[in-house]
Amino acid sequence: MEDKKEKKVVLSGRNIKKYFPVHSGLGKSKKYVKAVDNIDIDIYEGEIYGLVGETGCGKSTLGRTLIRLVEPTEGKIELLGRDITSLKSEEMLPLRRNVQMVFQDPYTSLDPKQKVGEILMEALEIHGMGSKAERMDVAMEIMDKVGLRPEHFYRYPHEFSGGQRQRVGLARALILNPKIIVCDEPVSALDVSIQAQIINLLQDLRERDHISFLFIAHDMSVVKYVSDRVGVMYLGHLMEEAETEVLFADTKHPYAQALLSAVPNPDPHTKKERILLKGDLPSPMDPPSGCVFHTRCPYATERCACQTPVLHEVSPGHKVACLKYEEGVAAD
Amino acid sequence: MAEKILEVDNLSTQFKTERGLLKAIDGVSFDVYEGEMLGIVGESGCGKSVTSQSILRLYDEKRLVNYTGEIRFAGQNLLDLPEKQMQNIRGEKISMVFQDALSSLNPVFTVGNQIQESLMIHSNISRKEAARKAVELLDLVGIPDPEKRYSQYPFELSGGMRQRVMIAVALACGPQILIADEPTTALDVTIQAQIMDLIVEMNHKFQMGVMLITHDLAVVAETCSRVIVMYLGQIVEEGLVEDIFDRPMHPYTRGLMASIPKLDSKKGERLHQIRGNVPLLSQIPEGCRFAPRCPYATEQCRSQMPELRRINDTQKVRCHQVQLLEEFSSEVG
Repeated sequence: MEDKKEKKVVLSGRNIKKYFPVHSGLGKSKKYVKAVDNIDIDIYEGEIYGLVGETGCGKSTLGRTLIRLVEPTEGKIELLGRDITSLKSEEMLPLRRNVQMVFQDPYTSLDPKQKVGEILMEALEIHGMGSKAERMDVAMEIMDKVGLRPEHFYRYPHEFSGGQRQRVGLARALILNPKIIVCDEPVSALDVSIQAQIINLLQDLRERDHISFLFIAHDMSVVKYVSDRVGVMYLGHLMEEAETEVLFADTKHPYAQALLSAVPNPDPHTKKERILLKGDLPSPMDPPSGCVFHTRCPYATERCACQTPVLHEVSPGHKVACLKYEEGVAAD
Repeated sequence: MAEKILEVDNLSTQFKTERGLLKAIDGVSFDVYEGEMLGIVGESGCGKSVTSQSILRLYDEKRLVNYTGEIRFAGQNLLDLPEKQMQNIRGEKISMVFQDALSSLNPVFTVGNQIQESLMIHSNISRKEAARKAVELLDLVGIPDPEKRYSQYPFELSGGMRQRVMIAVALACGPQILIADEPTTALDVTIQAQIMDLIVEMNHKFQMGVMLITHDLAVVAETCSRVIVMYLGQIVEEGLVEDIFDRPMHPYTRGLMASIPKLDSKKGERLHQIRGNVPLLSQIPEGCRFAPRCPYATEQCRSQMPELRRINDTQKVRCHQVQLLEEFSSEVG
C-alpha cells in the first residue's frame, strides 16, 4: 500500500452538508431533506473513488456539491488545494476546466441540435482555447482516444447508440484535460456488453492520463471492478470507506455487509447467505435518531437509537461509522 | 419432468411501421413446464419482452401487429382465440408483472381496489368477499399492516411495496403461468433481493410456471432452473442454468457471460467486450445474426442462418461452429 500522505489530494470536502428545504404549506414549520449530512471526503490524484449506495442515499448530491453544481449548505470544498466553497461563478469558471462531469443518461445529457464536433468544441470555446482549426484538431484527437471515428464528428447524438453516446459524454469531459471527472452512474443505462466497453475505457484513461474519477454507482460489482477506494453511503451519511480490496474482503458496517450480500452472483453453484434488510429506506426528511441505519440494522442496540456514530479509522485507511466498532470493542 | 403447460411454436411477431414490416421476433419456439422458473435473457432489443407480451397478445391492434406460429396453452392456440376469450386468459390463467410498478398501477385507485378489481372480473364473488381476499393477498406478498395498506394509493408506497402489490394483483386469480418482465430492474439491490425471494417463494408455494424476463444474468443464475438466451429476435441458446453458466456454447452467450463484472473478479482485470453494437432490426445481417460480431464467424456463418440444434438432452444452440466450440471448451476444461 502506498503512503497516502505522499499522494496529492485533488478534490476534498470537509463537513459537507446539503439540506434541501421542503415547503409543506402555510403555517407549518419548514422541513429539510438532509441529502448529505456532514461528510468528509478526499479524492487523490489518479485514483478512482467509487461511491455506492441505494436510491436516495445522497451520492449524486454529494458528487454535484463537490463540483459546485449544487451549493453546499455548509462545509468547505477544496480543489487542487484551493478553497472554492464561496467563489463566484466568474471566479469559478477558469477552475471549472479541472473538474468535469459525465452524466448517467447519455440520451438527455447531449444537446440534440448540436453535432458531436460542436458539442466537443464548445467546451474549448468557452475557455477560449485555440483557434477554430486547433479546436477541431483537439476534438478529433479526443474522439480517437474514446474510440469514436473521425466521421462521427459531423453526426448528431440521435445517430448514435447508447454506448457511443456515453463515449461522446466522456470525450466532452476529457477535452479540457481535467484533473478530476465526476461520473454519475455512467454505465447504469447501458447493456452489459456495452457497459464492459465503457468500464475498460475508463480504466485506460486513468492509467494513461492519471485522471482522478469520482465514480458514483449503485452496482457493487461494477464499483469493485473499477475503483481504488470505495465509500458506502446511506441516508446522507458515509458509513464505511476503505481501499477496494479491504472493503470487499473485510466489510465492517452492517449496512455495507447487507448491501454486498444482496448483490446477485452470476454463478448458479454458490448459494450465499443473504442478509435480508427489513423494510424500506426511511424518509430523508425525517431520518432516524442516533445512527440513521439503526431502524433496519440486525445488530442495533438501544445505544444506536440515541448516539450518532462518527466515521473513525479501524485500521489505516479503513473507516467505519458504527458504534459496534467504536472504542475498539467489536461486539461479536 | 413436470408437465408442459405452454408451448410456443415458431412464433414470429411483426410490427407494421412506416418503414415497413419489422420482425421483432423470428421463429421463437420453447416450452414452459409446470412449477419451473424459466429465465429469458438478452440485451435491449433482443425481443425478450416482445416474446412475453405476444403470449398474452398485449399488442392486439390487428392493423399494427402480425403474429405467426402457434402458442398452445390448455389445448388451444392463443393466437386463434377471439378477444373475448383471450380476456379470460389474461390475468386469470396467465398473468404478468411489469417493470415499472408506478406506471402499471392506476394512480387514482387504492391498491386494495385494484386487487379487488382483478378478483371480481375473473370470478363471481361479492365485493366484500373480494375485499377480504385482497387483504389476504397483501399479507401473502409480505406487506406489513395489510388492512391499512389496502386503502392507500400507489404513490403512498415505496418502489418495493408497489412491486409487491403488482405481484399480489398478478397472483389474485391463481394463474398457471406468471410472466415477470424485468420485475426488479428499477429497484435497488437490497429490495431486488426481497422481491426475487418473494417470486421464488410464490413459485414453490403455488407450483406455477414462472417466466422471468431480465437482462441480469446474475438474477437468473440465482433463481431459475432453465434459461433461454435471445439475440436480435431469435433464441441462440437454451438449457439448464448450470450448463449454460458452466459451459456456454454460443459465442454470444460466452461474450455476455465474460462481460459481467463479478464480485470475486480481480480489480484491474480487463472485462471482455463484445465488439460492435447490436444492429437495428431494420438492418438484420444475412446468415447468422451474430456473425458480424462473432470472433469465430466463417463464410458459412455469413451466408447461411444456423438452426437451433439440440447438442445434448437439455441444451440447444444456434451456431454453425458448435462442434469447434465444444472441442475448444473441453480442452480448456
